[in-house]
Amino acid sequence: MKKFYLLLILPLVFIGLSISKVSAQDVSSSISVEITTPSSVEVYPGVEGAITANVTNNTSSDMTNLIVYITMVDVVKNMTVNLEDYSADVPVVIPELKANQSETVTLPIIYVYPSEYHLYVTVATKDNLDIISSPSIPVNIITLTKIDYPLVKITSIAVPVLLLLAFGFVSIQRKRRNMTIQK
Amino acid sequence: MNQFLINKEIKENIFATKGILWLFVSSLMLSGLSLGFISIKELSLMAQNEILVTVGKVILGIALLITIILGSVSISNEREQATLESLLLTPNSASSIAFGKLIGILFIWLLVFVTSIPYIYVLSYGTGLFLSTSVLIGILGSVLVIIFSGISIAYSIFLKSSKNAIIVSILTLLITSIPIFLSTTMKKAGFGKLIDSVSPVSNVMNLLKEVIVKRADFISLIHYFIPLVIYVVAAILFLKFAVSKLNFEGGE
Amino acid sequence: MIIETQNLSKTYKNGFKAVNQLNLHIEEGDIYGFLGPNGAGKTTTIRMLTGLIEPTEGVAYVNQENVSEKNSTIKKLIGVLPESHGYYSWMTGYEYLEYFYNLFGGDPLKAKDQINYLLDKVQLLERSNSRIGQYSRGMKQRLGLAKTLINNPKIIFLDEPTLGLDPSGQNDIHKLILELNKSMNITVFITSHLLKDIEVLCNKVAIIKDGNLLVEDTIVNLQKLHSPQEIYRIKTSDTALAITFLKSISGIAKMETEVDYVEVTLKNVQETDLIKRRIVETLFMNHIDVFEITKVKSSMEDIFLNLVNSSTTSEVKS
Repeated sequence: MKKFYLLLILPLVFIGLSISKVSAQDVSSSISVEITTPSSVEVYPGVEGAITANVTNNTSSDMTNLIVYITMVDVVKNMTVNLEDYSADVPVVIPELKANQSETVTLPIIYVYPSEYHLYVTVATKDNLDIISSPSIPVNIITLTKIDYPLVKITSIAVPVLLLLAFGFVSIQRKRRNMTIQK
Repeated sequence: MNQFLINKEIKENIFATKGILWLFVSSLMLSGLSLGFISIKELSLMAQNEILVTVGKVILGIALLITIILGSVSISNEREQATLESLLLTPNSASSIAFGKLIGILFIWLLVFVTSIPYIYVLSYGTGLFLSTSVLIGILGSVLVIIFSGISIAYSIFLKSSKNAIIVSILTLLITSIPIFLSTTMKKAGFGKLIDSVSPVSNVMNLLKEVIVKRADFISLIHYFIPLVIYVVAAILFLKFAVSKLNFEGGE
Repeated sequence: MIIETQNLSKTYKNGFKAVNQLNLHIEEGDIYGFLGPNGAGKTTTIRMLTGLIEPTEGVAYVNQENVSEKNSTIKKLIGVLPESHGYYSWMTGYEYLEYFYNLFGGDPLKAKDQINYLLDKVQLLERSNSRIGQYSRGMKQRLGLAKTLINNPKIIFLDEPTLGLDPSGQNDIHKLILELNKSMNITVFITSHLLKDIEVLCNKVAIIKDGNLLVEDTIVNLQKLHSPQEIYRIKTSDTALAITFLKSISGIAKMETEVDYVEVTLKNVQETDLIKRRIVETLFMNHIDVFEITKVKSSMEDIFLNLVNSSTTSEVKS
């Protein structure tokens, strides 16, 4: 009897799994996105750029309101990036993408803080909860120079000391003047 | 405007209110911050242009605090120590007395700024940003000091009490600095966006970022300068109105 | 007239009428005493005369100029020592005078001489480089007086100049004021609670109460017309015996005896001559020689209290 139930249940389980796998496969391949230009970035801070991405509707039905945006992660400091600082926080909305059609979008960016990043383009839509991202491109914002540590240390000590000496000097001068008799 | 009034204000701000000691304390703060940028792990990871913006904000913050305190006690202190009557009995107008105090306060800002130049230099070393950062902090600091010390001197006239004038001046600074405490999202739309665009403190902070970090050109920054100019004019008019009420008509 | 007011009045915003229809007349060279109890309107009057506040009604003239219209011109001609007078304690005495010298637009080339002259005059030359914060009250008051003179004024207004000073300090101030008036012909407008100040310094006095002028006259006339009582000093050949007979005279209110004279206060000012005759006749009849009967002047205090405490207030033209 147990063997009978097992034989009945197991096929149902396999069928269920394959349905969900098929569903996942269907969603992830319904939209595809890839960065067309640039393939990599190496610039100094302050340079303006643009990321061009191609978004494709792989389904047989039209899609509406696709939100396309940049995501960046700092792989040196291991943290995400506030895209507002890079003027890259405004997404592009594709109002309608017809079946099996592609659209190219341009996303502006200003390369600001020196570090190494991975940049990718992501598409989200109201119609489903999955997020589709492109492969990332390497972005290297080159630091102009490093701070001169000894100079900083010298300045940090010298300025307060000089001011203290100035205060002492001025106080002594006034006391000396007050002690002399005006003739 | 009487130069002797101004000279006296400068001397008083330096000697009587221990101005040099204040400069020493503010230099200690900047030294601490600078050493932090090279020794504390989290701070040392900051990019140099980011460091300059942070230091710029601290310099302006120190300047604002010193100048609104000096402005708040300017006229009320004269009243409290019974020297105002003698001043008003000289041929100098009440207006020249009040604006003489404003210029005296601007001189203290100048000293704060000069003291901070070595720090700006070492922290901008090699970036080519020293001149633009210094000039920008100098100009923006002067604008903020004129606005807030003008308002503080006016409070000092109206409120006739140093304690009350200091409290109200600090509250005014905090209210105009509200956008600094808002999140990025809140400043994108609605009321947050509105107050971010009209707050003088907010405009100055945004200008620092635009010039030092994003290296924006001057033309694109006009919309930040316009509110500042309006505030300067408004502060001066407010002070002029307060000066017209500087009298002993209360029977003191 | 170097100072003249016509119906000068001041009503503050809260409705309080501090000064009412004041008519003052001060000649050049006068040391003019302006008396009144606390809250009478003295400081308000000085502030209107110096242009610090605007009168609600009437007009004040200083040096023939309308104070309201020629405010900054008049400020150059006057020096003022307010009652509550503060100092910049971080300044030295010299710096303080130099500051005001420059505010009045003094010639920079003559600054040192003028300042040292005034410091010498007020006996502060040796302490001129000490901070004012280290000065005694008397020294500060003398410094204030020097500041009042820094612009070589024609008229000085002194509001309670001897307040808080010891008798020696008061004496110094008196001497200074008298000397300034004599040597530089400076007109002095002075208020004081110390009526002895007024007696010593002033030739003319006005008394104000509740904002109203009670009287304005020379001291001599005030003593003649407003003395509350008449006191006579009588010197005789036998003081002790004279007293026994004087007791019987009905017109005498009070007697005070000293070793060689007796002071009698008469009851009725109107019957002065009659009572005096009675005194002389009584003593003569009892073989007591009268060497002297002299009138003792009423003090300013007596006159002041008499006028201020009386119920009628009427202006008396000088």
